[in-house]
Amino acid sequence: KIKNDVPWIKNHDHSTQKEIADWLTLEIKDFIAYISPSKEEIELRNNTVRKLREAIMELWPDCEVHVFGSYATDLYLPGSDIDMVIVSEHGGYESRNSLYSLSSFLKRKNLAKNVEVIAKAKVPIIKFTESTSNIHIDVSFERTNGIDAAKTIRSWITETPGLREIVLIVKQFLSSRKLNNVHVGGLGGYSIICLVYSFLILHPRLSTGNISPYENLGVLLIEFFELYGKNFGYDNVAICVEPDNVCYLNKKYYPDLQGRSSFALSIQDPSDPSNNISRGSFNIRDIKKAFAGAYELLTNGCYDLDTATYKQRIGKSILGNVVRYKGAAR
Amino acid sequence: CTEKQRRVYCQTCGSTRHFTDRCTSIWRSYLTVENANRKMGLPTNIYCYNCAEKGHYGDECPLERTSRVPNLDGSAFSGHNLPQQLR
Repeated sequence: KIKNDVPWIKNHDHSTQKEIADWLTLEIKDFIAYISPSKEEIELRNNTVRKLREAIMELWPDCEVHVFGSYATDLYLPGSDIDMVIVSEHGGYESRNSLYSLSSFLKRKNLAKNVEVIAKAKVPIIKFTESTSNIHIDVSFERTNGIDAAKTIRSWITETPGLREIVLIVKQFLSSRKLNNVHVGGLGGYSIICLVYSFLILHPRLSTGNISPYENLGVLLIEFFELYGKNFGYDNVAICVEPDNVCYLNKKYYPDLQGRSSFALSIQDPSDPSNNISRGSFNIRDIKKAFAGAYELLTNGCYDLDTATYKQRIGKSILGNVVRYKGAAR
Repeated sequence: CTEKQRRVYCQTCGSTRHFTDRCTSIWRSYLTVENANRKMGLPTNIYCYNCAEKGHYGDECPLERTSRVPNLDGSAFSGHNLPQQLR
């Protein structure tokens, strides 16, 4: 039942750890090191962004090209796309005309293939694959909220050790279950970050300074799944992540945060109190179930390995049951 | 079958809801920070995951539980999980 053929275990055996929680902590660190981008991958991404920015500025010299999302917050997994946004003083680049002129310009310059212009959506975007790097790019227009959110998230990451690690694990977990796509009710990156951030700030051991998160990643990961998979009162409780005031709000008093159904995840947008960041995640039922499943898998893995002999433990993985990494070998 | 006749009892925590080999203490163990003696106050951000009220954790909520998943053995968000000197 316990996995033993996961790639991040190679040359990183922790089967002699006395505490199972320490074993899991070490495995989380190995997994993070394994999926973290290499120097070459980082350079490829940076060069791709630079090349696109230069090209777009050539077409529209009066615009600014920003990156946001996981590329800007350093929370991307192998194969993640890059989110870019074009903003200008006059705010005119969201028109249908400019969308099509940019897309044909990128095609003409041989920078983009598989170009899709989604002009009718609430947030019009161009999606394409950059020709040399094969990285997927999303370009949106004249919206600064993504840039602001990236700034907020970067400050959380520096102030909150453990946040980056747990977010990456939860992201990988949800993506392997196809529950990370907001267009089909999944949980978006910003929502995942808010859930982990709120959990870490409100945790009894962390808020008292009794433990350091980085040395307790294993137990904290299980307790994250325990909170949002088993206990969190999705019907009544909304999450607030305002600077200096991370707390819960009773949905009853915040009509803006109530969704169409009472069983819904509500996260108040720190830069717009009337906006619910997770309002698109209508499939919260399956997400909660998946979190509870992750809790069961991890705790059962711990129980089984705790009673196993050292010989049976060699080369085994606790995390492998939960994060299935299916990408190319790294 | 002898399995069914065994009374559920955990030798680690005394609970009658799980056997010793399924005790949450197997994984809910923390590596605490060295200078545990320094003065610590109750955290100001105690919030309830069940009713959103300030001042108690969800495990101790006096209101009816909204989640349908049972919480038999207690969770991280309990007054019992505060550092020893604050419980």
